[in-house]
Amino acid sequence: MVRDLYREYAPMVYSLAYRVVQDHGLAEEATQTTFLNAWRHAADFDPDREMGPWLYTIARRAAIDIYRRERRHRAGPASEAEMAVLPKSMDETWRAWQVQLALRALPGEELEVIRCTHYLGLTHEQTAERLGIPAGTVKSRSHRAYRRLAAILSDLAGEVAG
Amino acid sequence: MRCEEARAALLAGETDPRVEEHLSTCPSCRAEMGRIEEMRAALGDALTWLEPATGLEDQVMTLLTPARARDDGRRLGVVAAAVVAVILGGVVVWTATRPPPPDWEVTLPGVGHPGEVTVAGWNRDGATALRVSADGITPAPGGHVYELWLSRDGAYVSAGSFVTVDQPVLLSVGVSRRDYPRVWITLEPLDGDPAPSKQVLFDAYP
Repeated sequence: MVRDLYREYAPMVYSLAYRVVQDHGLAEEATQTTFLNAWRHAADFDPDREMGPWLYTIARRAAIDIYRRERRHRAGPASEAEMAVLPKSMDETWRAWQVQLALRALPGEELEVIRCTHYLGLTHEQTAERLGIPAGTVKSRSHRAYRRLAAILSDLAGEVAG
Repeated sequence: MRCEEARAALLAGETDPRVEEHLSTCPSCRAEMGRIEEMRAALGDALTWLEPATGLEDQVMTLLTPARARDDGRRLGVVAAAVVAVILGGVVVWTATRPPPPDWEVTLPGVGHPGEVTVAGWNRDGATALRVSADGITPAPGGHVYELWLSRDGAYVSAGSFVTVDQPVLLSVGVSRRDYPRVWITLEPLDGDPAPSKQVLFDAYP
């Protein structure tokens, strides 16, 4: 079960950590710390609530702690006010987390089409060739994926407003 | 055109006059424009698609293995269960289950606390079997346990807890001392808080 949790959330945790610490090794450390702390505090988690926000809080804390530790090592003694300053990328982490949650709600075949389009910058024809499927299938999967993402976006807006 | 279709088209970056027409008559979709643009930007952000190295999963699973704990979040060490002692005329004789020499051994002096503790470790595929022994250490007071930690910088891993060290205590931890070199013992209240307390009683720096 814990391995399932890791597989579902590790990319999001790692991505959040990297945004903050800007280093792959430190992002790995933050990811390890996140899942360890989540396991340790599992009794505190209310199963009636969403796992995402709870894990986000733990991941954010782990990344911030490492960020500040590294700043302390590099810069030497610093005032409390200086150490309280967080990287600008912190503002993006919650939005990025929500986007990644939305993407992971897509069926694998639709996610792959979106990834080819946006991450690899491929056209429908290039995506079709890469995935070994007809261009028409790429178009229909793409269309379904955007509709799902738009619906999830509306749900997220509703949660915030609620 | 329905809202969902218009928003999907915007996400896809499609230029469609029907979308413009819908937006002109739908304040709800106009209000969503900012979030849709943010999501579209995020889809093109390489960090959105970042994945950790494949080996990290096994490392995390190894870390989590010793943390599967009892109800109070602490694991109590087995008191020398692997050793069979036969007392013959006051002499303790080890049986064939005596373990091989440890791969490492460290003495933890007391930190403002009397006595010292010796911790021996046997490396096992990235994990470590541990034996804790001591002289002159009183049992942990009621509502408390001693807990052994391995750590590196700010990252710590519990190797388990014990109440008394009258006999050697056997513990195990899913990391190696090569990666987590600092070995220390705290006094922990049984309050359900899994983080180490500030009462460090025995400590050895690498």
